[in-house]
Amino acid sequence: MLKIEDTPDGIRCIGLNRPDKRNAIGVEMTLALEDVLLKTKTDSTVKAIVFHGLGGHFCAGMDMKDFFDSSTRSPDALLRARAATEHWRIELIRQMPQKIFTAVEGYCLGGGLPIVAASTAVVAQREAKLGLPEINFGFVAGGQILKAVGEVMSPRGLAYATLTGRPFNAEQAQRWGLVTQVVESDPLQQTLAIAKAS
Amino acid sequence: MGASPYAPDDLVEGVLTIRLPVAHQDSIASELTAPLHVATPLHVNAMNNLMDLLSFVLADEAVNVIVLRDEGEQFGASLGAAADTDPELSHQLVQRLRDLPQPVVAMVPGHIHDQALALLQVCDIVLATEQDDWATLSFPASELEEQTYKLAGELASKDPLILRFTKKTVQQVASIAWEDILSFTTAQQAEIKSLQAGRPSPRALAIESFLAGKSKPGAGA
Repeated sequence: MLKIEDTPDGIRCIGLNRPDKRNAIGVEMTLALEDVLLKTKTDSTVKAIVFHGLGGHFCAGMDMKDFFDSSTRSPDALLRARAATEHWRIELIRQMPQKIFTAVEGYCLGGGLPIVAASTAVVAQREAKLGLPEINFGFVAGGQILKAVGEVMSPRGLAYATLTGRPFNAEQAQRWGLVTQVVESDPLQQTLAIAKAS
Repeated sequence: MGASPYAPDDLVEGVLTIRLPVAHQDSIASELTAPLHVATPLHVNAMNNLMDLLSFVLADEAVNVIVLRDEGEQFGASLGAAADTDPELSHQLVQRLRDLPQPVVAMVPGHIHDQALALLQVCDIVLATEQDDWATLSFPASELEEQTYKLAGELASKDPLILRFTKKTVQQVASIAWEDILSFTTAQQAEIKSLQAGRPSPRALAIESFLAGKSKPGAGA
């Protein structure tokens, strides 16, 4: 679910690794995210964290099938996974002692955005599609996601993204404050370079 | 409720067009100097009418989205004139607009009056010809109206309850402390669930359609 690699200069690369689901965050991935952040938090050998997605997309958001109406999980497993999700996205990721840097390409939607919002710098490939499509699924985007995103994104952009559910590109995301830099090719290289220089 | 207060073509498929009163620049000065039997200035009357209209819209479930426009040369000029005469009224107008449960889309084809900034701040989405801080998106003048109504129509086609709750959440999240955010979300979900009781869950239907490959909500469709 996660591909975790440490570079010799103390950068922990956390790759969302579920390419057949466009890295949608399901039960196993959310548990893994909580776990890696908990371990990294107290690891003094890690100087910076880089998030990225494998397979051409950053993250398609929460895995609807795994978490909601059609879930085949036991109530206990769902309860645990939901608690883990709130733990990492409300507390852990916002309070990491290390700076976070994120490389975005392809989809970067809904439940993937708290990672982006907690990042010191976000490098996005020009064709990336960001968005808060919850309303198109017939529900309200979680207050915890909107609060996180609203801390870095302009109120105008936040209202537009949540009310329309329309995706927006990297350049627009940069104008609205969600993305720091737009690149033409692989955003991971540039993100690593920024993390190293930090 | 009595007869509809809207002009015949102003409410179309859940999208209500509201036009700001057009400013009459010459109507104020002479009246201010006359001590007695002063007729209320035209734009103050117009603003009062607009206040009444907004009170009606607030409770009108047939209205899903509002398009706010100004046929005058400068967006919000009449509000500026009214603010000079009656600042409290213009303040109340902005508040009433902010309190509408439906999303408000402002269409701004050119310059804005200084007083219009407060007004635009409480509009959820501002489509304009100028790319400025107060604008959400900008379009060439020839496309502005089409893009505005396309967007408004899209909003009006969404579940009205979810649309209203989404607007409210966006307005409120910044002022809710992080330690309270989860209980806010939980309480809100419970409220939505109770309001949706007895009708099919739009979320279940949307997810069913998504899983069946019939729609791709994440792709904006």
